[in-house]
Amino acid sequence: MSNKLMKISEYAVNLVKADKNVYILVVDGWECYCFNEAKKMLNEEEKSRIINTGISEQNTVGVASGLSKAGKKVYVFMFAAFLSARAFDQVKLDIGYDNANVILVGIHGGFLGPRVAGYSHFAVEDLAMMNAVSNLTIFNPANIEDEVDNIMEYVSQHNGPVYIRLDTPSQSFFPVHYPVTIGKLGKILDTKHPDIAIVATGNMVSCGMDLANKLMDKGFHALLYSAHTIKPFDKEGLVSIIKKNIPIITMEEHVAYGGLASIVAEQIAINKSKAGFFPVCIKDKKYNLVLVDYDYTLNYLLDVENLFDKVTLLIHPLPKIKNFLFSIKTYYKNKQNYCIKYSLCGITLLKKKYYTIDQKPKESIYLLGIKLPK
Amino acid sequence: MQSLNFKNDIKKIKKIIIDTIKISNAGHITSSFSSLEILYAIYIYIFILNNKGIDVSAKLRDRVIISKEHCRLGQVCVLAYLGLLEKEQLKKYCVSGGNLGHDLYNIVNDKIPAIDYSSGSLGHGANVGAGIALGDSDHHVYVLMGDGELQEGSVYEAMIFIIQHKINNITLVIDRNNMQIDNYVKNIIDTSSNLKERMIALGFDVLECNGHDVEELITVLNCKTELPKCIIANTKKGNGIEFLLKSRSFAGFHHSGLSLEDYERVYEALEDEQ
Repeated sequence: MSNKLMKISEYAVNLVKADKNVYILVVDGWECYCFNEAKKMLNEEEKSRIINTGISEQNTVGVASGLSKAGKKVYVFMFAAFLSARAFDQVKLDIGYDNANVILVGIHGGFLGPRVAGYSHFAVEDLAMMNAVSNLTIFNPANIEDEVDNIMEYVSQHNGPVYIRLDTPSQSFFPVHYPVTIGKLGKILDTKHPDIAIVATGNMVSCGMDLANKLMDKGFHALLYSAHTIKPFDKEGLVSIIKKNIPIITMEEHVAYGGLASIVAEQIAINKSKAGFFPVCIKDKKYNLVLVDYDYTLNYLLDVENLFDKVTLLIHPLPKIKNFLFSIKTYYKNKQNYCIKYSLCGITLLKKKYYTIDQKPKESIYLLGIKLPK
Repeated sequence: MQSLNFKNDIKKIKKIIIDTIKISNAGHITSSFSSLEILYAIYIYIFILNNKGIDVSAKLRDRVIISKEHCRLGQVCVLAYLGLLEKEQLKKYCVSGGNLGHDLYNIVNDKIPAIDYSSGSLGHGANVGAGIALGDSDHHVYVLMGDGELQEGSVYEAMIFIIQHKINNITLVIDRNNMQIDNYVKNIIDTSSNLKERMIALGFDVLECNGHDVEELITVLNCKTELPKCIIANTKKGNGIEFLLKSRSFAGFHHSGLSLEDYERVYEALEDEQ
């Protein structure tokens, strides 16, 4: 089983082996996972170029910049959350402005952090921050091997700072292959007469696939693009999608500002498109629930079933009242799970009013989206 | 060493600093006067005394990292005096359209090869310096820091990294002028008075000297140490023009321009200097 992080760390180790000018800086927490096995294959000199810099993000980024000034190529591995927020000044000045030849690999971008971690370890603002840094090239690959291969091939030749964001790094690759061009939107699903276009990035490409398949079942045809290159963004490709005059959905594990939704919205505004735009991104609310793995995405983004209803609405608008029904549908099946969560977190019962087709208001009680029997 | 008249040189560079700042009336004069002899000593040590010739464009060579960016004015004036930077460029210091200012991003290494690094944000230089020293063990890296700067946490990340990895080709030079923008360092967070003990505790070999005595500075720069070296250079902020503090606040002493009257008094003070 291979995944994005393993693939990238393998790639970096091979470069350490092949080129004496390549260094890897890894912050405490990732050496065991990424390099312990690989190190067994290296000699002492090669091992000395994989440095565990401990619990010091600012120093790690500063040292990486210094190494690049001494003519080295540096790969840095650390949590995306700490790389973007903790060491941002160093990233902005020592890496970005100084145009350092450093590849920053941010692990656990988005929500799907390790089970033992919480909100502090998630990076849901990192794209916004990194997008604002000058000279930086930004990648956010999906769980598609072709994308990671192409990105690593590109960055090994590229001279300048790069940020690679890895969301769901422990998830294995999808069995999807397509020709990837760096800097261009990757077309994963094509159709002659599209009803809708989905532009997703990183892990959300898989949600995009689910959504496209569900739409296909109902007879709607969707285009699916993977935005693996976030900066510089493929504006040309995006404008050509906008000019198709079909609704556009963006999907990302990131807040609404400064990420994919902002980039696409900007171009939609410039091109005065009125075909419809639906950004799927993280809602700005308090992260007060203890959740595990995918539940985060479901709770703070949108689940696929829910999304499906909203999207079909976007294609064929139904009467407004239906909206209420859509927003309270749920993805969850296992009630027992909820009882545990209820007792753990003290979630209050949620009351929601909705209207039936005959316009009579009714009231039901919901616990985390599940309708409780009266 | 005999052929260089240090005192005369310093006096001339001080005048260049004042002439330069007079054009835009912007720049950190007092910080530059504090670090001036240190900068001069380091540059003549690595480029003139220690080396066969001056080749600032060499990709790998001894490096000088200015972590306390506000002595940038002093640095460019020293470089111009030593012929490592075009004197014409000084005329556009802090002037719209010029290359030289507080920060020198993106042009570092391109237009001014003698300047190795630029960061206006404190607490970056030691980290970057450690990286350079680690990557290029054949050359030496000199990092000039302030004593107030030691309030930044990232500085200690760099120091413990240097000690852990036994990076011996780096020298931290701390310009201890006991002042920061708002007040004396000891009145804010005291990182100046017991500095020597702290640096020894961290694992450095510490040398202390008069930061305004070029010969003494060169002697400590030339000292070989077993552990990574830290030089504490005791200085005075605005050395020779301390009277400016009487007529302005601490912050004004740090970064405000001068009035015409001030310029006259400063020139007079420079003339009187022995």
